[in-house]
Amino acid sequence: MSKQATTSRKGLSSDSTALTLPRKLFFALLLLQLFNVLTLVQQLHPFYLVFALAALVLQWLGYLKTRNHSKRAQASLQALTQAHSTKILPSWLILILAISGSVVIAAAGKSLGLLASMIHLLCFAYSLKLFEISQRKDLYQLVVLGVFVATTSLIFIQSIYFSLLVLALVFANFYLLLNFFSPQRRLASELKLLAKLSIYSLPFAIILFVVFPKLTPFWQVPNVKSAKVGLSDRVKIGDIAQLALSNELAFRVSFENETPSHAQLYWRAMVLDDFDGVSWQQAGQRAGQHHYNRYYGANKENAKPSANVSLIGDAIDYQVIVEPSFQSWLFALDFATTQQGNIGQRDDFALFYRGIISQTTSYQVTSFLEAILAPSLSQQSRATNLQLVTENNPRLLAKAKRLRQRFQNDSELIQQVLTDFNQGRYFYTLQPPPVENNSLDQFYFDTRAGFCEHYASSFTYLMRAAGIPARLVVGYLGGELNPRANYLSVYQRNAHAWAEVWLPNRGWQRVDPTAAVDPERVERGFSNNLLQEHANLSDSFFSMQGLGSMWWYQQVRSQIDALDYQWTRWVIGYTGQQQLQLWAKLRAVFTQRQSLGYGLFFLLTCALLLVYFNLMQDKRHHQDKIIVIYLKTLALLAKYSLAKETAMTAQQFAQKVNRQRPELSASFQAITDSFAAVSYQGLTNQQYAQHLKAANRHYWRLRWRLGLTRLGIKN
Amino acid sequence: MQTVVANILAQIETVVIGKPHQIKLALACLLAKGHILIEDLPGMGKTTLANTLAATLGLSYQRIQFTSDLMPSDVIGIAIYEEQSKSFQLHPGAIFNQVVLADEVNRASPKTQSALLEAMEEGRVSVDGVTHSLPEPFFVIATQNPMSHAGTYPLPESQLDRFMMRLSLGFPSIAAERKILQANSSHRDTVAITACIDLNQLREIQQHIANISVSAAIIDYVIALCRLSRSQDSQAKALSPRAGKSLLAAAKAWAFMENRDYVIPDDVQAVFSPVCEHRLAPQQHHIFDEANELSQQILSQVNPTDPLA
Repeated sequence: MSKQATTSRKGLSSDSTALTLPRKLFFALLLLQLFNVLTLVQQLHPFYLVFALAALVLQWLGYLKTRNHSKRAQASLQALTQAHSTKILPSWLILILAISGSVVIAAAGKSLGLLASMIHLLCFAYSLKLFEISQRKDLYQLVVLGVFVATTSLIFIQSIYFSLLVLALVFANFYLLLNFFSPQRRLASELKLLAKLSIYSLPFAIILFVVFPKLTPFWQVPNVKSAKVGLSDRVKIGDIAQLALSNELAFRVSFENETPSHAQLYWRAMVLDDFDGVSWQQAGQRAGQHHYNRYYGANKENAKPSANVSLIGDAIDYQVIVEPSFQSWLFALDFATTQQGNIGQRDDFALFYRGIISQTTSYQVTSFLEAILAPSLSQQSRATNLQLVTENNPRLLAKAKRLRQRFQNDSELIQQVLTDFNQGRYFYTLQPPPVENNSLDQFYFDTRAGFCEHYASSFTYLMRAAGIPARLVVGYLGGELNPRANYLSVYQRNAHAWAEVWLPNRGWQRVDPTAAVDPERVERGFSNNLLQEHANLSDSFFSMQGLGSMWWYQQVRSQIDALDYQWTRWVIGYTGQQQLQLWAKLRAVFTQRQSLGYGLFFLLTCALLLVYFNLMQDKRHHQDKIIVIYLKTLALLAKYSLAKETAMTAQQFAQKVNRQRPELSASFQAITDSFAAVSYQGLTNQQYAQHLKAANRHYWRLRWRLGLTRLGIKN
Repeated sequence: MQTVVANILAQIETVVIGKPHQIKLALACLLAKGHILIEDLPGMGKTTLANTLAATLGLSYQRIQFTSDLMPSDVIGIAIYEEQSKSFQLHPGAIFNQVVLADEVNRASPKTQSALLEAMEEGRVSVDGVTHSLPEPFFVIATQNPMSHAGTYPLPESQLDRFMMRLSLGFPSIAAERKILQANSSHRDTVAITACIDLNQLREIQQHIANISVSAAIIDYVIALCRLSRSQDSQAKALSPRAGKSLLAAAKAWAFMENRDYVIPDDVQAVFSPVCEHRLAPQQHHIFDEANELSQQILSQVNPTDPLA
């Protein structure tokens, strides 16, 4: 009686349909459900979250109630089982809940979007299923559903830490599942089994990850543009200084060869050539003329005829992994080409992604740093880049006219403007004093303190006023090199704006007035003054100045960042594109006869090593082949429920086989005799060879026979 | 040689009815040059078996009935002064025979017991500082009543160890008992038993048995069995290397009787219980309860095909 009681307290009563759950397991089930749902907390509607919590609390209360009840009643085992099976909610209520909930989700589908409503439906079912556990299979379904819910969160967040967290949660779920199957096992053996199963499944997971076709998601990941910090397609002065306070990662780059110097790292994001006196934006956008910017494929062959570029100088190759920006522009050094079909190029040389970058995306770029951009300028383009709103900044306009009179030569004029910046007591700062109505005049002549966009804007304005085609380019400057993994991290604080002027025969030339004001910003990055300012302004607890100067903090940070980078690069960045490339590479390898030979040689070596290893394992105890055959035969027979008891001698076991399976007896007796002869009698070499041959033959005969009987063929 | 052995067995079986296995074990023990201890209730045929064995082997034979007042000199002999030679001459005791039947050995005082047992081990005796060799071959067949019986001095472990085997005959089967009761013969008729073997043949057989080959696998098996008895959680007394040697010797004799010139694990298993049980559990003997024997437990835990794995 007492024994019975222990087993059913510890285990699950599987024979009856009513199900008893031990307290610990039940609590673990509820806790894991809570965690599984919490992984999606950002995506789920507050109403649903309240519902899920209420469901969990209701379950817990219901459990406590039945437990107390059964305690009071001093119920027998049977009664306890029945008490547990009483449902917390009647099934008609569950049905009504299920239907009404689905209707509500369907109704909200428009505003939620397809993906979110599907996830809500999944989670809703997950919460409801909790009320419907009457059989073991319901438990299994619940746990597996939990695993599905937890992994769904990886659609939205893919950082390595979160992924590890979800993985741990999945393991916890599996552990629970294991507990349902075999509650009697010890913790250590359960963990061991779990580890073993995970290791077994790892190769399959890797193979599936590498080989399984990566489909583009059929759902639209919800646009959370507003929450995101980043460049905007409409820049007025002060915007970028604001952006520079953010320490968020924008993108990462790894160069195939040497990393260019800091001053060369002007990452073009977009070109703003339409100035309304206050803010800059892309031409044509104001009028909704999207067709104005013609799009091209961004491959090298397109460069010459369409984008009007003469490619000279060396090419540098690099991979860019861009964080989700929920925009479509990409970042590259001029002049950029890429073979990827999902990337296009505007005629202002900016790359863009055909779609919204809602997930971490990687692309391969080849840049020609010395290329001449647009040696000839179309009339239309010239007109756009000379367009000027004259009302807002009369003083600049006048200055430009004076300069034009002084310098006929464009280059000299540009040089003079830069010299003015350099020597005119201009001040480079993250906290520009406010100017009225974003007036460039006020900045240029009065406050004389600004961030890159102030200088770039006024410079461009001056150029246009002086009759030189010019435009504003926004993007990022520089980046932080991680020496461990040799890649460049570009943060939002690296955001930058500079100017481009078009000069005859030389095409579009990059001019960065910031360099004239604060050369260090261009050469190396933020100067110490700027860093100090940054530290004061950014509310981040780990301010750059304080902690940043401690070497260990930098070490740890760069280590963690490197880890995150590798994760992003190899796991997240492994997209359909990479997969296709991998296949193409493999196909190329296999079509070459020589490498095919190498491949076969490799496989053959692996197989041989495997066989050798197997043999060595067998031989660890027994060098003798006949003994090995005998032991193999024993193992084989054990599979067919003909196991030798420990104390049985070879002859005794042979007799047992003879009694139970007379049809196998002849072969087995022969093997036994060989074994006995070699173990106990001692054989000459010649006899040994004969015995070995016979034993081998009989072993295979035995296998064959056993195989036939397994297939149901008797002979 | 095998026919000789078969004849011996057949002849003993006509006297000791229904116990072929025990007879075979006893013979194997003698062929392996070991002494036998037969332990059983009174009237089970211990003495009959011992008598018949001695007579069949055609060796010089004397029986000593051990009692509590038996003195060591009664067993070994005594030196007496002789007038003619003006010297002490040994008057040999019963032990100076090739086969000595020590009946009810546990009824004698420990002093007398040890006198006999020292002779068994050494193969010679010393009287008044003069060493006298015992005849060759020399077997002791001792019988004893179960420990619990009144008036017994249990043999200590060290002396039990001198016996290669301890045997029990056990109650006969119905058929055997019917046969025993119907027969008119009594002890005295055993005199009619003729010797089936001469001394030379016996020596030859013993030589042959010594030459029977024992493979490394068998040695491993014996070692594994011994080691198991020495493990921490074993209830048994540890088996000494001498026990292992006795086990091997008995297994060889058994293999010879099975008409093989090499030992297989089955031989070891056949003799394991009689050779080792009295060493593993000296103070108890489950006469009619083989399954509970410590030796059976040890045997069941060692895999003969892969002993040291």
